[in-house]
Amino acid sequence: MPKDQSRIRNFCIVAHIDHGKSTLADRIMDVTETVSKREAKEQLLDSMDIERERGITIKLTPVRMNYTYNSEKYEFNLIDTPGHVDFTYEVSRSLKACEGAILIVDASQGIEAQTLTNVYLALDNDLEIIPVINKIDLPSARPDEVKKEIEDVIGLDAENAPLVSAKEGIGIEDVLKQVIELLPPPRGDYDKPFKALIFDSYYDSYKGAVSFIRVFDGKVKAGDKVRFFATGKEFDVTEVGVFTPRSTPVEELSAGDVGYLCASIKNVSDTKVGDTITLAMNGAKEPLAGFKEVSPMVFCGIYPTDGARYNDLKDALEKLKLNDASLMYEPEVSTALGFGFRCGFLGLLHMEIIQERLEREFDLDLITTAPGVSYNVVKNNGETVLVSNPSNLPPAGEIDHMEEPVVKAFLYTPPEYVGPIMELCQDKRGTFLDMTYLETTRVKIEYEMPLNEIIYDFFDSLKSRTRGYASLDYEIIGYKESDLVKLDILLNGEICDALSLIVHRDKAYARGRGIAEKLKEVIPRQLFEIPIQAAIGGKVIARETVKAMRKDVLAKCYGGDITRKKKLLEKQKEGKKRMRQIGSVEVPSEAFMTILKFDK
Amino acid sequence: MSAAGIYVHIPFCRSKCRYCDFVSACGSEEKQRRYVKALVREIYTGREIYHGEADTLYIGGGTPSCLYKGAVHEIVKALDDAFSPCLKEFTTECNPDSFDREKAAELKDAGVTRISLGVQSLDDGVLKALGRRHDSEQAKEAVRLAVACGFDVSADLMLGLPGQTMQDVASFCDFAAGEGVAHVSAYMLKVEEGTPLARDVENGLELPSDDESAEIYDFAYSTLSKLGYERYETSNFCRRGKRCLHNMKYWTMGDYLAFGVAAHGKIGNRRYFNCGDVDEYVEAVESGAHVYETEEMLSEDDVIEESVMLGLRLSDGVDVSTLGRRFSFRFEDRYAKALKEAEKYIVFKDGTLKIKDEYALVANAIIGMFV
Repeated sequence: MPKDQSRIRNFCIVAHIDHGKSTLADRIMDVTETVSKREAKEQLLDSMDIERERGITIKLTPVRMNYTYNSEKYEFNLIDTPGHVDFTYEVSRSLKACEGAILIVDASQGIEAQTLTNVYLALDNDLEIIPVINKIDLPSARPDEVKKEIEDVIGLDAENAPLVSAKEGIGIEDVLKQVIELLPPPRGDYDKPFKALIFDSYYDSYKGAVSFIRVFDGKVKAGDKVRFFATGKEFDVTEVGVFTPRSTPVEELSAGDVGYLCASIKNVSDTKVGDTITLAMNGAKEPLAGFKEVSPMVFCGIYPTDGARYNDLKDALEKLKLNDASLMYEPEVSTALGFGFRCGFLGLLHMEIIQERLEREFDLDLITTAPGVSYNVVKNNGETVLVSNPSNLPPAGEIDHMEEPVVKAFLYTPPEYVGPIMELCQDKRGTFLDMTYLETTRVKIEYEMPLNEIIYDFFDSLKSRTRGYASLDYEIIGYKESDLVKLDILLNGEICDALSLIVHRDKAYARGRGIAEKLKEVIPRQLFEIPIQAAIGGKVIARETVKAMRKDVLAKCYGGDITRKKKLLEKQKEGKKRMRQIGSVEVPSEAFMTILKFDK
Repeated sequence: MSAAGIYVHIPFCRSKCRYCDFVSACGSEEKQRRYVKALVREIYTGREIYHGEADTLYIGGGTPSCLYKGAVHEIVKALDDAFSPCLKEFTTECNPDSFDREKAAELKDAGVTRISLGVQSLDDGVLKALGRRHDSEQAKEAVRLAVACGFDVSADLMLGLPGQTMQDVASFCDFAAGEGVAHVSAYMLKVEEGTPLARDVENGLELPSDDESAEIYDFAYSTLSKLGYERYETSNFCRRGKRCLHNMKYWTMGDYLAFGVAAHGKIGNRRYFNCGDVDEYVEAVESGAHVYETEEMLSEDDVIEESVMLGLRLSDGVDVSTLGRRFSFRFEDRYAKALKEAEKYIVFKDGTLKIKDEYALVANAIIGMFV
């Protein structure tokens, strides 16, 4: 029996970070009685500890719900999506599985960077959009102005936008009514061969690789033999099911459905996100349009503090990679830090989250090197190499020129901060492009800027200069030639490879001085004097000195109380474990991160 | 087997100094009597665990000189009965404010040969900041009295004190040398957690920096050397032949019996620590229970490690060839890596390992390489 697709609505919620997506999703689940009161935890779809603690969504999470409206039973598939710029690709994937989107705009904050990015993504995917004004319970709410903003800036009709407080449970029924009345149902063909898009996947140790799919045509059930377009590999389906939000097996998934599919697939790389699945026999001829491959933009080295845990780190990265296709890593060796991995991320938040998950979920102690970007290095012989690890930079004599990734940055701010923002962008080697007043209280500024300036201390400076009012979004626009140099840090005369950086020549002096000063603070005094030098090529541009230790002795050792002394030495020994030996110098693990965090 | 030392702890003071985190309390005479009674009882039970000889006795605290009259006699009698020690040295710690003629006579009569006086400083401002009960005049009088009574006198000098000047150190050293003080313990102030001094520091009391403390130590070291005191341990200086025999046992892994609250003993490869609470201690002894809270058996590795750790505090260093013979290993093999790492800071000659004089103040960092 073909399912009545007119009773299905597949939609997602898009919004700027912290405008209330996950809370609205929770309320919708309450109203549709998807989750019993007993199970209800705040932000139910955010299952990772980090998501709950930070109050953000990282992974997209689908859920199926039932709702009766005008005596008709409807089936909703809601996909909660992340709001942060780093996770745009996750959003774009979930959009492919939907016909419509709820756009949440905060009633006091109004439109922000990610609101626009997500709206454009939704429009690109031909989704119908329902604007919703959230947080109307706040005293600072200004729903009418925000409606006007939506109409002026985005060009969506916001006249009938539901006024909602997800927190207080106000206006939720209105939202569901509009979902039914305004969002189109799926229009797949039940009789055509099975055709589904993989929009996410994860690895389950019992079921193997599990694909999250949106069925466009036909049907699939356990026992069917399916083929994956990308690899051509065939598998026997062992289970299909839906998310309630727990994975719940069902008899069949058919056109219009969102659900999951398992087929005892050992290798996650066989279930490529964006790939199309069809039947092995008489399957579809053409795949669905997939997703753009995401490429990492931010790189850093990750090393276990305890070198013996290299294999644990390797396993952990493998496991994370299974449900985070955007994470890239490859082994690397540092003379200072030993064996580790060069990892690529979508952005700084992504990097932080991966580090945190590695440390928490896998109980690892990590040393991370300063994040960098990847550079195009054009050599004298015409050859071009991509370099993301400063240590791999060819000798200066072999380099004709270098190119760095450049972004178009969009900054949204109240007008009073335009001055400080422009000053900051100028300082970060930005080129002014445009400035528009979105309304009297909101300005959009566009700059062209090197990515390596954005990943270094830009967010923090922006937030502190604008008291947190400004927001930033950016898109990569390509590579541009730039006068870049490799900045080396020498400890006691030896280059510490893990501290090397690629920076613009104009910034090298300030960075070198800053790093040397910071290292002087974090490197403990040792038995001998330690010169810290910053150098470009062979030329030293900054020097600091950690003076030799003068006093480290137990004053008294009387009364036979040896234990005290022993404990002290043991504590010292423990402390040593957190140190890295670089030549003759002991450097604390934190030192490698501090070079990130100096502020002028 | 060589003779053991005996340590007896007296946990009473007239008042507590601001930097002190030792077990001490102001005790009424009644409390003191009950404690000494318990102590005596513990000493008698000590016969069960030790039958060897003893040649040093050290009564420390706290402030043993503030004990009621006759207390030291009671303790010495019990020790005589239990161990018949043949004492080469009998030290009692005294504070200048509770050391007078009468006390001196009592101690002399009890057989005390050596008095360790808690002088600390001869600057009245500094003494006050530390919460000491005496002033510089009292301290000087106490020293003169002790010397006049024929005791070997050791005077404590604290270094790195708030507001301390080189002049303070210089006048202390000159005074000590001039008055015939045989031994000086010059140790650096360490702010212990939870002490009033730690609170003072939190509230803004300024202490000398590590560098300044090091300067002061170096100054004290050179001043004492010029005055004829040799440094034989990190913090201890003396006239020729006047080393503290009892303390030497600690630093050379000798044996020592311990009696009293919070006392630490070592016999053979057994270490034990008595419980740290006065009331608990007294009750335990009275009820015939064991008073040692913890005891541990040192493994071969522990003995080796501790020998090195403690021996490196001595200017004579540690006799590693004997240690090696005793446990059948070659020191230079077992510690090859550490010896290489520490190369610049040590002297390793004729089977003896020692830290170079100029690195005495960073001994921990060097010892750390060997443990």
